[in-house]
Amino acid sequence: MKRLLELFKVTWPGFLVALLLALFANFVHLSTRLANFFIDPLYLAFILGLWVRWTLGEKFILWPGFALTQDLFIPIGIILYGTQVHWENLSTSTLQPFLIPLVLALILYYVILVTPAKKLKISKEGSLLIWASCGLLGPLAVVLLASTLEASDEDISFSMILAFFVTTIMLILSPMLQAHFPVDPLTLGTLSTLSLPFLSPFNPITQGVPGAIAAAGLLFGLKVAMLAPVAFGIYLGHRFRKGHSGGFPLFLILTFFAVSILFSFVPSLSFARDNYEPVTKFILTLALTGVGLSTNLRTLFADRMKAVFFYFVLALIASVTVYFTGLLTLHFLHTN
Amino acid sequence: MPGHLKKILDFVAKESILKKTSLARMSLLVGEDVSRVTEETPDDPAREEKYIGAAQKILGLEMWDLTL
Repeated sequence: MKRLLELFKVTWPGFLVALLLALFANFVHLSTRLANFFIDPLYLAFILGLWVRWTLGEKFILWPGFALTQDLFIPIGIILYGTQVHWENLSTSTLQPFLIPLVLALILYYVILVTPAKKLKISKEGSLLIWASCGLLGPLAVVLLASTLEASDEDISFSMILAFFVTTIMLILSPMLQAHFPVDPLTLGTLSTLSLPFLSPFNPITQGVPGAIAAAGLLFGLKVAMLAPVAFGIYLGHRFRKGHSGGFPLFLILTFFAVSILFSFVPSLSFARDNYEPVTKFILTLALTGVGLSTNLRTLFADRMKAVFFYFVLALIASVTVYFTGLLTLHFLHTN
Repeated sequence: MPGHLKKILDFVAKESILKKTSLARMSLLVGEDVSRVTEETPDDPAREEKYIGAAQKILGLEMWDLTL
């Protein structure tokens, strides 16, 4: 009890800052037109966190609270996110058109982003986070894998910044590419989910094309469902490489998986799923505020300026390559 | 041989449930950003003493038996 009280005493100032920022991000998101674009409160809170940390500098008094926000709310957010996985919607027949393009995209992202990591002095953990962030699901994948890999705050933030950068550039490039290579709604939805890691199925590219939103939704659902198996595979690889790994990441992955199964197949739970969505989103927003607040951008950019530059280029190359590979694969699959 | 400070930090992280919080508390108690400490950070008896004191406080240890 005495130690808990002591913990409260040292963490409340930082935690209060994080809470206020997360609430502010939600407020801004709801009261402005940001929701019409792809600026999620999750990302807004993360950016605000980075900015506040940059502005405040080394205010050690706030750091324990910033760190506690991550330590507590990343695991809670991951477990709660299990309620939003729709296993019941995934069937072989509906997913068939997406499997080959998705697997190819993940391989391409891996080859382009993970292979050169060692030469660019980026840790294996950092490069895997970048892969997950760009290839899988942006912040959601990063949050789950960061716990599995016990990644540093700088690695987490760098992978999120990269995925956001790629999404922004591809958001500008995609309409130009579509003007030269017109596509059907299924291809449009698939390509938007493959090359825009930060976007939900309903985004400026798919907007107004119901078939594209439906296709993007199915592929997005498949990516969400892949999170737990991918995290488990990475956990095993990490354990094998490092020779040891805490039991907590495994507990987290298994709990996330168990919750996702329960909420997909137990009718009373799946009916209540929507009630958990706002809570889940807010908890994840709070967790990402903590990540932003704990990241020292000066260290991030000072220590690896060359790697940062190369990774911005590599991530963009990866996304464009995935776009064209997806386009060709889907064209080939449709014509055969 | 360098690495004593890093060894203390690794010990704190290993023994804590809230790892990042414990390391942030270390920064607060020793008055410097401990995330900059690496294996190559030179040993410094005065800093080590400060780090051990902070680690004991965070982990609630009466005795310090980690061999550096």
